[in-house]
Amino acid sequence: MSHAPGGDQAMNRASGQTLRKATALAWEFWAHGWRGFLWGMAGIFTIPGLIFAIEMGRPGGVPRALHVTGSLLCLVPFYWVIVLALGALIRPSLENPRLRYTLPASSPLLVVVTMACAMVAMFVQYAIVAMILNALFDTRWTIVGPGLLAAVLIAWCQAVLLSTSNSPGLRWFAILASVVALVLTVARWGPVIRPEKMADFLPGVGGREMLSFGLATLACVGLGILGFAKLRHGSGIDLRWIGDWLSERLDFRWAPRAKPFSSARAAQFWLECQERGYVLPVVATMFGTAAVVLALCVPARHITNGKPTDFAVFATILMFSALVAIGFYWGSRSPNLDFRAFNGSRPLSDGQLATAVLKSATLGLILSALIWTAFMVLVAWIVAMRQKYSMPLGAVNRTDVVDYLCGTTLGALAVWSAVSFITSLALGGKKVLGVAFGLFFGCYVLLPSMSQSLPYAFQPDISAEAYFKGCLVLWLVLCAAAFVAGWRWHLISVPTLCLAATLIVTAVAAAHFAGMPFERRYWPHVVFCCLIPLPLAAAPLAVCVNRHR
Amino acid sequence: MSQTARPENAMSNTATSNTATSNTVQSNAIVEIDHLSRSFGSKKALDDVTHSIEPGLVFGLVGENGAGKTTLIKHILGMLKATHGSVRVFGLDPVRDPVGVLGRIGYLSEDRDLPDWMTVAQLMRYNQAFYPGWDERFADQLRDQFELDPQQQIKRLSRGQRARAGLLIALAHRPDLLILDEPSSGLDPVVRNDILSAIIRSVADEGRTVVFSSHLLDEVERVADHVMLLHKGRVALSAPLHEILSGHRRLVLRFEAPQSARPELPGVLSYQGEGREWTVLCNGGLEELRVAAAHAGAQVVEEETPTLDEIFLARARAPRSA
Amino acid sequence: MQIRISSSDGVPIYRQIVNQVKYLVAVGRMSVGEQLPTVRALAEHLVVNPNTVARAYRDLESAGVIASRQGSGAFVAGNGSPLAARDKQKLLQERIDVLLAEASHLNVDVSTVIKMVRDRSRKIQSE
Repeated sequence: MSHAPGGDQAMNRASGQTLRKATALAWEFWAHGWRGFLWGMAGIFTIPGLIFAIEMGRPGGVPRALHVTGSLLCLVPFYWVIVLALGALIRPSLENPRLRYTLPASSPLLVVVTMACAMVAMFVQYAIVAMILNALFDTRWTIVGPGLLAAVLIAWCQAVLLSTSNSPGLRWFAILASVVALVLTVARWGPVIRPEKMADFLPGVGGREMLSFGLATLACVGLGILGFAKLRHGSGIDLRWIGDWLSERLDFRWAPRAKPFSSARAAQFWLECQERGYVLPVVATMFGTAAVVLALCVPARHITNGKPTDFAVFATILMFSALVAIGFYWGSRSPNLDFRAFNGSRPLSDGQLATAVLKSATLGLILSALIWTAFMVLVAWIVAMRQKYSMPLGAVNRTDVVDYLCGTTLGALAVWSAVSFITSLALGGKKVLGVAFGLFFGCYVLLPSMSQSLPYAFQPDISAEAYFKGCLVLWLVLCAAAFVAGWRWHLISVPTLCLAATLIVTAVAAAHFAGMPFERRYWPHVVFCCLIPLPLAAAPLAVCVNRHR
Repeated sequence: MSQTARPENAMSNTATSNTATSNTVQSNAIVEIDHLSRSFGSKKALDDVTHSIEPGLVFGLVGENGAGKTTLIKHILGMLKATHGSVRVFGLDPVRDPVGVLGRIGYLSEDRDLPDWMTVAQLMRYNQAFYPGWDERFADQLRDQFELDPQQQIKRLSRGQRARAGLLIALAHRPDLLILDEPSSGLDPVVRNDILSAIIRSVADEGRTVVFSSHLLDEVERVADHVMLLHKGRVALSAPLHEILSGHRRLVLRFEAPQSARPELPGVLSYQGEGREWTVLCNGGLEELRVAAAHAGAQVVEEETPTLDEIFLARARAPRSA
Repeated sequence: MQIRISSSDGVPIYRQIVNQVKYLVAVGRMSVGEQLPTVRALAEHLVVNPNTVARAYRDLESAGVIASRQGSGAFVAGNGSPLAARDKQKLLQERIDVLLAEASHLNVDVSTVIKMVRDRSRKIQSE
């Protein structure tokens, strides 16, 4: 190190330049993603918002709903759901824009700055969400420990993403393997899924935790720099040759079926399945495989202390959260939800386009349900075997079977309706989505909870239950209006109406036999059943709004 | 002939569509645009555009970036709903009747939007289902001519091949109306030649109508029958090409004394030059101009037909300089 | 028929076609009775709008350079000599106009130009 003034000046200049570059890179990260981060945090609150809205329907009013929501949110699984959701939102900012390759900055600088920003973003987002949850629902989430863990996880995610830019297949495999490894590691800290309060999850961050976090972060940085440098100089891992090799071998056997499509609608249905519909069955397969691997590898005592089906139930809850995201993806026509030139210029009516999307979604749901059930049965069986749990197959009651079937039917219809409705909202584009989001939060979360905090004199004289039922009736009116509008504008036809009627009748019948008979006092449930066919009208309307702006 | 249809009426009133059908008996224009205006927020993309595109013609749409060409094309395709004014294609409302309108249109978008994951063969098979007029043999012939590998994925195609693939599916069903949005942008001369040849062949073959927007004015000059210049959403010039070319003249004037400022002469669209020699461009009014030039002490040294490029530059700049 | 179209010539395309066909006929590269390509074929070959080619053919027909027979297409017209001579003179006249304009700019008078033409012609003939 030279002590000559020139040498010091040169070093100062160099470090000044590095600082400027780092600042510019950091600015890019935040400027690119701040909107996503804010919307994401708002979106996270859909989950507690949904629970809160559902609980509001039961007698007991707002305080009870808050209490129930809070006690559910205390549980560790919600931490993982929120970490996954936040990570998914930060993910676009972690990608490798090719632009960075030609910036006059060293690979370590590029990787370290982005990673640091992502870690900070994750920690801050988690901290904000946790503090809000603590304030609203009194869930007593710890901030520092789980926040640092989340930050390290996002660093790992970025390292994987940076190294696998060339190969989506490898990327998926790496992420899945990481998830499995993570669960196995966390299992050492305590039971993975037993309802454990967040207050006990990483309560204190001691020397050992800081050391492991530090080492893990260094490993992420190293892997990230290595992978990025290889990609930057054109020698990244590229598994395309496997695909090419396979397609060469299989070409003559899998001769392209030269048979043309029977109709335009069949062709569009094929397009939807190939482009988007396949995602859910593939995701179900991958998560199912991961669950099976975990069931085999995780120490038995950590999986559950109760029934062997606990783990399967937990995995299914996680899968449901994925359903929301995938339903959204099914409806999005492009990254910014617009109809682009190719999709918008198909010679199909709006109703036909919407039908193709819904059919593909339904097929995806059915396939995934079958796949997931198969995997979960396998998981439950494995856990039962490992725990040497004897499943008493006693006398199966006829009413039990009927109950079970009806409950499943109703549940399946409800899930289909919810996911298809989310798809319809996504089909409508940003404006429709924004309006729906705003209405949902306004009516179901903000208004009821704010009315409780008003001074007594201004509190409206409506009970929460009545408000909830009133909203339900409003939904029914909107549903009917949607069908009427769709009919008048020639967006839906007679077969669709027949299908809607069939769905309602099936749902009501299923509810009737599942313990909610067709009586006056169960009218909210009947209204729910009548809402089930809503996507059949909402989807064509959404396409009409989005396609012709 | 064409009515200013309010959006609600366009969608809900079958009586309106009946009137529309009876109206189309009178005119046989393929596309009728009537006082079409459109704003996006505060920006006015189209400002009172009116035109009828006759069948069997090549219609060239020119203008600078952001002049409103793509907006106009999207209105014809029904991707934008006409909020002020109306658009009728084949006598139908493209928003109300996408199947009837789009099934007879071949469209090549500006960004060559195609499903990346499909192979060329899959793309052809998929499109075949939508267009009743799809000619399989013709499609295969085009594919061979464009040298596209049927098993190649679209995302792996180069830019030129992508444009060719898009052109293939636009042409293969022999559409009544071919719409090309900036077909030559970013392409090498070989592909550009392919595209222009395809346009000529479509028109020469069955008298199909072609609408294409372009920046390359020398191509427009070769191929168009009728040219419309859009400037900031307004129609700056709309006339048959031969009228435009025969009407405009470029004169080189040589002044006796050097002119320090631009010599103001009547009917001149643009000036260029300095000192004693000035090049001016005018549209008609030649005699007046000659007289005025003589008065100003100038001699006409050269007189030529300007290229379309020069005409449009002069026209596009004229409002600013005025 | 070898015709070249230049986009930035300053001359409209149909006029270029007319001029070039007249030139070919005048210099004898197209003989009397020879068939011209159809409008469509020429349009595809030159990559030019068929209407432009059609207008060029109409102009040529009205000038008497070509004649179209119903169903068979267009042929170079039979009355060759006087028209060809007129066209030849017109071509040369255009060249002479250019030469005279240049001379006037360079301040060379007409008699000097004529003397230069004679000298050059003698020199070329002796080579």
